[in-house]
Amino acid sequence: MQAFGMVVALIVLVLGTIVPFIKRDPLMPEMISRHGATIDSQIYLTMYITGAIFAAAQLALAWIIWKYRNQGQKAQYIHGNMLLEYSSIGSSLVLFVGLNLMGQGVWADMHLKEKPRGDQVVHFEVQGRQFKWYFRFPGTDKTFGTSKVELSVQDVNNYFGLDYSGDQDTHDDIVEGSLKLPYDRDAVARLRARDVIHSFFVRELRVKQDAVPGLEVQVPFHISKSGMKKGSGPLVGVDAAALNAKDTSALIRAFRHIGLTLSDKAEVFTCAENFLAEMDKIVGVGRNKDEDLSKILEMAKPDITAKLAQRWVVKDRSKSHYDKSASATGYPLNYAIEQEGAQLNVYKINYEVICAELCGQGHWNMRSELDIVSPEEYALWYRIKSEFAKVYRR
Amino acid sequence: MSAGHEAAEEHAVHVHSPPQGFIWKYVFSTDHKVIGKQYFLLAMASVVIGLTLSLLFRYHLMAWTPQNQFLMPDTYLQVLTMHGTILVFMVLTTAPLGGFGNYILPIQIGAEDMAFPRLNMLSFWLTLLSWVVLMVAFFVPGDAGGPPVSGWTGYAPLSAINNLKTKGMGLGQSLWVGSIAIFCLASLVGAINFIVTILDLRCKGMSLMRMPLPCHAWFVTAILALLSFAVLLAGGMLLLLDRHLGTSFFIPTGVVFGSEILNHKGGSPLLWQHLFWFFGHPEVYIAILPGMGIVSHILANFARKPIFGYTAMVIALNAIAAIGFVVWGHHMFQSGMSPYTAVAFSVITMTIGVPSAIKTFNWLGTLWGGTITCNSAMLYSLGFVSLFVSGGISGIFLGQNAVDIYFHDTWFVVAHFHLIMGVAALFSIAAGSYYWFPKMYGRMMNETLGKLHFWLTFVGAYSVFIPMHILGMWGHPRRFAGFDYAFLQDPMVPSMQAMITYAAFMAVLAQLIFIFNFFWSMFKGALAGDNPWNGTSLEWSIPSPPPFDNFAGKHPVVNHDPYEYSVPGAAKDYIMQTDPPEARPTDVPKH
Repeated sequence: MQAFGMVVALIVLVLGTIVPFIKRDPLMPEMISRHGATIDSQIYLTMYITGAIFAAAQLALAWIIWKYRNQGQKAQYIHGNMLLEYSSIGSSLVLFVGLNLMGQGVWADMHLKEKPRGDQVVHFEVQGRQFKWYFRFPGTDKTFGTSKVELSVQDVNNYFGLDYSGDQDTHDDIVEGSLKLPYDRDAVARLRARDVIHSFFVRELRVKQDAVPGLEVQVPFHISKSGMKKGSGPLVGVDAAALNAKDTSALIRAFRHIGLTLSDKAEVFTCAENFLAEMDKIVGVGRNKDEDLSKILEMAKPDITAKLAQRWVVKDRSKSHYDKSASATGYPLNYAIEQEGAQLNVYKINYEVICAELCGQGHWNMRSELDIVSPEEYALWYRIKSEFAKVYRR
Repeated sequence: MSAGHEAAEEHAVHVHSPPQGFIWKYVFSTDHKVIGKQYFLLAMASVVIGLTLSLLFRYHLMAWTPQNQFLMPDTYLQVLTMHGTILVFMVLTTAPLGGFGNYILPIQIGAEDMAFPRLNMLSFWLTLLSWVVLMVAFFVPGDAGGPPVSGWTGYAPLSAINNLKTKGMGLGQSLWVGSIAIFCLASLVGAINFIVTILDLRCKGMSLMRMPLPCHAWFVTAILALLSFAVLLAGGMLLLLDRHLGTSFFIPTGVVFGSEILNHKGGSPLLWQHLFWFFGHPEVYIAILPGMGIVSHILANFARKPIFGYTAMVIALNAIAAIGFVVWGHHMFQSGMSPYTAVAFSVITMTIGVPSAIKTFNWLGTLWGGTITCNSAMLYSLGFVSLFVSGGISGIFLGQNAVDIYFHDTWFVVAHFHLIMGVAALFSIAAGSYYWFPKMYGRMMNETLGKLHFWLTFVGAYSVFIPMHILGMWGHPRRFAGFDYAFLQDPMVPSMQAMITYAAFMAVLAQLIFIFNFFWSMFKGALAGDNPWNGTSLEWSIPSPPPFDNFAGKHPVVNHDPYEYSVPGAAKDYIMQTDPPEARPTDVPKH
């Protein structure tokens, strides 16, 4: 009876373990980085091999328990078999070490080879602190400015302790609370921590690396796609008429779409004035305000349109906020944005940056966002942000 | 009593008289059997506390909504920290080594006590002191009160900053470190005792390669404990210095906490991780190697078979321990240490799969061709083999540095180490309990309750930890007090959390059956007799429970290998180690 129970239990164990792994689709979250493909294939290869070993060992145990259950037979006097022992040693050595060596390529790409260099490479710094992430880009001069921890203590809003007093490299550094990166570009993250150990984890990127106080750890990666699958859900483009409108709300939307979130219209206008002055230097627009706005919007429109087409999913209000078709392509954050007039309930598709190393009571809630955009949109955003930083630096 | 005992009458026999009075007999006892029981009861009390804590955070995770949180996030981490600490140190380290090792080891090698009985007593009382200090952390008052929030791994600088404003970072953290340091001292004293006892006190005929496998396991485990706890002790002392005397071993320059720059310079957070995992990885084997020995012993007994590949099993035990000492870095692949080092640690880690595969293969070989009786002890041993495979398999993912990028600090890791280190080790403790209880108390445990306990635990434990692998595949991070992320808005997450919680309640409540059975059988169980399982090793050659000095003033002589079951032509289907040489037919070749 007990032997039969063990047999049934072990068979159920094998089926109950393997079937969910096979049936669950997707088993792992979407993967959007170049090295992630190699990691995933190594995970799946390991899963097939270990799955086979798991099933074989459990079923062999079940079979032996059943076949040799006590029915009054006499046990065999067997001490061992050296040939079988050596075979077991040899096969497990080749299998386990071989499997490991197969995975070393992607590790070497990420950690052992020289970090990517050149104008196209996106460099950014990640700062982990209880319980927030902050990101710094070097700006248009491509040089990180000096940062001093004392300055970050003197001014709590100067998250990186940027030294604006003497170092010109600092002036255009972009500091953000969320992360924006382009696809089809190499990127190098420089991880730092301000207080305790944190771990930068974006699961879709297959990137996880501890940020350690006193250390700078660099992690390269290459985002291979925007994250949306074509035709996976009801996509909608931006309301072109709204974008073309030369009014404040359009500007607010434009700013918002390109990442400059400002809540107050008056502030937007003030910012816009200064911003346009800076834009003169960049795109050479004139001083006619309507025309300037139009040109800015015109310049931004293709990127914004493309961005929205990729990243906004229209949802029926009656449906639950969770939508399986959307989950295959991204993870809906419950940002309901009312589009003017249309009253559409839309959801922003985005990726989450979380902390994977226990860092204190707020550990579970230490998160930020990763917004992946086209290289062109990123370049525009980067230029605007950097110029904006020059004007509105602390 | 077998003939081997009389054969040694001519030896000088030292008999120390049994202590008189309750205090000296049951409390401050130097008798290894009493100390073994003390360790065991301490572990049992700790299991109750540790598993109750797990039910608290399991319920929390099941019932969690953004509006309704059973535990506050800091309380959640405190409960989690104490759960891990209590179970790893006070249960998985004490029960298999301090408990069974103390009680059974001297008897199995034919000694009347441990080599240093007073050190043995000191070891237990230091362990108890460590336990008390740890428990006091629950009751620390104030804003920074309660036990620590830094997890059982106590990563610095989180554990090194003595902050009196943040919950769990004040005195509770210091008590935690102090408790661990005292525990290290206790383990060092105990380890020396085990090593000397095995090397010096084996009876006549008990060569090293005639020792039952649990003795080999306890021997190598003691060596591991000696070498690894010493390092953790050093680490713990440095951590205390950082916390209270302003040193900077683990806190680097420029750390900002709250609104101030800490006055520490030049420390390294990675140093703590190296020191901790230099202990921490061998600790996994300190928990599981005795279990491997115990289970091997029981499998042979209830399959009525010699151990398949006894020599290979001994070599594999030692190989696992030796390799286990040079793989600690696989816990630190993503820590920021040198990536070249990670490659070396990863490759070496994978070679541990080889002796582990030998163990599994030989357990199956031991069962093969046997006459398998599935009583409670055997069921737990078979369950151990199954769990060892399941838990070991997931280690092949985590030992690969590239794959670990994704799985590190996810629930996949939680599932892995709970199966291999937690549940499998607990199964070996349960197997040993059902197996040796008759020797320890002279009575049998109730088999019906034992089997019920097994089935509820076996099904419950797998139902808890297999789904965690799926959560880990989905990237679900561990040690999160809540999960209202878009990140985790997979519709399966809440239902899986609920299922895991129900299974955890079932598995934990099933342990009440064991506890009831244990104490009920102590007084009401059927009388056991000397050798209820027809076993071969020395503990079955003496009365149950054994007399004060085990062999009643006589020195046993060992004439046979430890697992001589079903020897063709023998009078019985087992030959005890102390049976006379002629009990074994001469025409049967030895291994």
